[in-house]
Amino acid sequence: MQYCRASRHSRLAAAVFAAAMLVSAVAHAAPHRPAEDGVVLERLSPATVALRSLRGESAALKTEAKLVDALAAARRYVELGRTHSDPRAYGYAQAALGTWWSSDHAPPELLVMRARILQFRHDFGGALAQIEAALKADPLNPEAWLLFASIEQVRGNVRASRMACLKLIPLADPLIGTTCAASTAALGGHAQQGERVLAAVLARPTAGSNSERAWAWTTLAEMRERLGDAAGAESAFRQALALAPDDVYGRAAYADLLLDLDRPRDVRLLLGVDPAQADATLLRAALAAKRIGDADAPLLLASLAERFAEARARGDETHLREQARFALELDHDSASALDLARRNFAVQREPADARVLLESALAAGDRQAAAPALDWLRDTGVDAPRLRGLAGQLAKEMRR
Amino acid sequence: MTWRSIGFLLLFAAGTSAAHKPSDSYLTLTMHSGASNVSCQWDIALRDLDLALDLDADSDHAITWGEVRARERDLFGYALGRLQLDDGAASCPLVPGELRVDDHSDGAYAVLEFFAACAQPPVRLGVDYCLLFDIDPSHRGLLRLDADGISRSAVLSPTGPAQSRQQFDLTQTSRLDTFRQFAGDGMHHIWIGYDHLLFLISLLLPAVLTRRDATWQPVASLRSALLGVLAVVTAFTVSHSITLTLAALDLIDLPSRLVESGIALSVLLASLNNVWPIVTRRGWVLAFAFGLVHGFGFAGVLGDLGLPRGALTLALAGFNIGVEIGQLAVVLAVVPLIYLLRHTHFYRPGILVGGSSTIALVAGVWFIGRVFGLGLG
Repeated sequence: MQYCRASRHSRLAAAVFAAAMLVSAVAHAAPHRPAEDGVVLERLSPATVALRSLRGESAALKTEAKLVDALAAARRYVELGRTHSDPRAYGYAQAALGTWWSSDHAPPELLVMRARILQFRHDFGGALAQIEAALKADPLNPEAWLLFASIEQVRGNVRASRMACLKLIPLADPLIGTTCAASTAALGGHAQQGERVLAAVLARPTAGSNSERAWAWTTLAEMRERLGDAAGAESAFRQALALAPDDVYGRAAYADLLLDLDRPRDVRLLLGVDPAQADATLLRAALAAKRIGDADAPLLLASLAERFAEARARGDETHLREQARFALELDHDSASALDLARRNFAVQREPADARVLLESALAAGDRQAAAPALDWLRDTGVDAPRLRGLAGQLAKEMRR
Repeated sequence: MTWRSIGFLLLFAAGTSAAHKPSDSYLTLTMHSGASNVSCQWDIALRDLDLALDLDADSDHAITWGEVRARERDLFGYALGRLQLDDGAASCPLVPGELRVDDHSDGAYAVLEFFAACAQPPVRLGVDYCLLFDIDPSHRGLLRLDADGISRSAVLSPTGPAQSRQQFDLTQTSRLDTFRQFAGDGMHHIWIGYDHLLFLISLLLPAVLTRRDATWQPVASLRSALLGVLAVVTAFTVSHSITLTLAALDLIDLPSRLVESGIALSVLLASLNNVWPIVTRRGWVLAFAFGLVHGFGFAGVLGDLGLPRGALTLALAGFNIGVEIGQLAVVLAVVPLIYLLRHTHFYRPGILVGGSSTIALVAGVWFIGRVFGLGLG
């Protein structure tokens, strides 16, 4: 029998897991043997098929792969994983690196790849350590600076992010450098200028790839959305999705705009009916379905609840923002929402994280809990009228 | 170095977007004391198995039951080759059973049934797991062990604080432990459940008084006060035990918002009844009627705790007795005090009316908050 080496440690997980697993056990259908051989159990999505064929190729080079081949395979997995927001792909990327994953002597490209995988799992500290080592060896590594800027932006460290973008500008295509800089400028209180500069660069011909241009359009759309320019944001989202129709992040962000505009039917059209879709889009689909009163709303809700229970059971905390929104907007449990939003804001601090914390604090009538978001708003000077409105509302409620 | 060396771009937001579900398998082991066989059910995503075993034989990107069934032997061979159970002394051979399928939140899963034939009833059950770790190091095995109705869980992973090996000491827990644990939970719930406490107190406050000629008079003897208390407490206990049992056994299932709103309403009405008395002689009727709603509330908590399937009645009894003990403690603390205070001028306006009004106010806020989902308490 083939077997794996096992360690001799044992640790019982918390009893919460039992509850979560019980919930997940109840939520799905009972095990059965289908009556007909022709019954289709699972349709593999195009993304899964792509991963599958990649796997076929890289399994061949698996043993004693050269670093350059391992990195090439990992890169392709990560690219697919990023677009479809699929954690399995990041697992395959790690597997493709083989022993390189934990080797002490790592060239910058390997360090950056590890950082990328760690960042996806929200291990920001681990990712930054890899990037620092990469930049020590290669201070002109554009990928490392971009990743650095991205992580610091997610963590709400706008100044550090801006510094990294400035380092990136001379090393990268104007589109990439500008998107990076404009994005952090907007978070630092210079949204109007950022929007103008980015729109101007996007109007020029560029050598950027489709996914790079889609990223720039999505960034522009989010900046406009925060500035209250819904029409401008929508046209930018459409540009982005024309370039990268599968991009989960872009689709979810566009769905958020449509929800804010009270156009849930357009959200359903945008996201379609795919029960196996990413959590981020499933959440928006459920929010829209509930608002319309669609017949499949309870199903979508139950499916989301089950996914969150399963995430808790595995000890996964990368979904806290979505879980907080679920608790707040679908479960109407403001106490849980507030707890989740606070824990989320301790890890990631982007405008959407601040928003769910402010909204949860408002619903729970607990201004104190919103303090980190209020401090962040004040310290960064981010241009976001909606967030400022929420903060003002919170102050008013409390004075009453 | 030019920008082209970036090769491809990592979106800024990639880290923040929530994910598809990562790969998990669900392994449930069930044991009974004295038995040497461990029955097992293992749910593994078809998507994951396809990667390892190429289930989609005709490459049409759809996995059919026929394709899965044809590979039944390979499936068991692959999975059971990556799991090892031992009874503390020797490895327990795994004997394949039936293959079925099921849907989880993220797609179809193969459900492998099998049992581990240990040489002796395991005292220490060891689980070694390495499914899929070579393909996807972020895969996790979510393990649940039900031993005589006591559930324990663990996450199996290749590295880190969770590990690929778990060991369960089966001598440590007994049925008594289950009972004790749930009794503790029941008591705890009464103590932190202000709504139950305030309901009980609202019913107890008038028990040291009697209604005569449309005014409250102190009761003459301790005996009649205690009889009143006994009637209220017994009625409340009987009624919430009924609904707690019905709900815990899944015979009735009410939405939690309805239950929580109902509980708030019961506190509101019980306290208002002290301010503007309607039911004065038979407080126990109120206790019984509203106790039904509180029972559903207790059941919600019990459900959240995760009931051991094999020891359902034991856990239920433990939890209920815990609730009663907690409740008795409140009675013992409150009744002597209000009995002594019943003659004072302060008792009726200050405690009965004033206290009940405060409770009514709090309960009103709860009620509105819970009905409209405002999260006010």
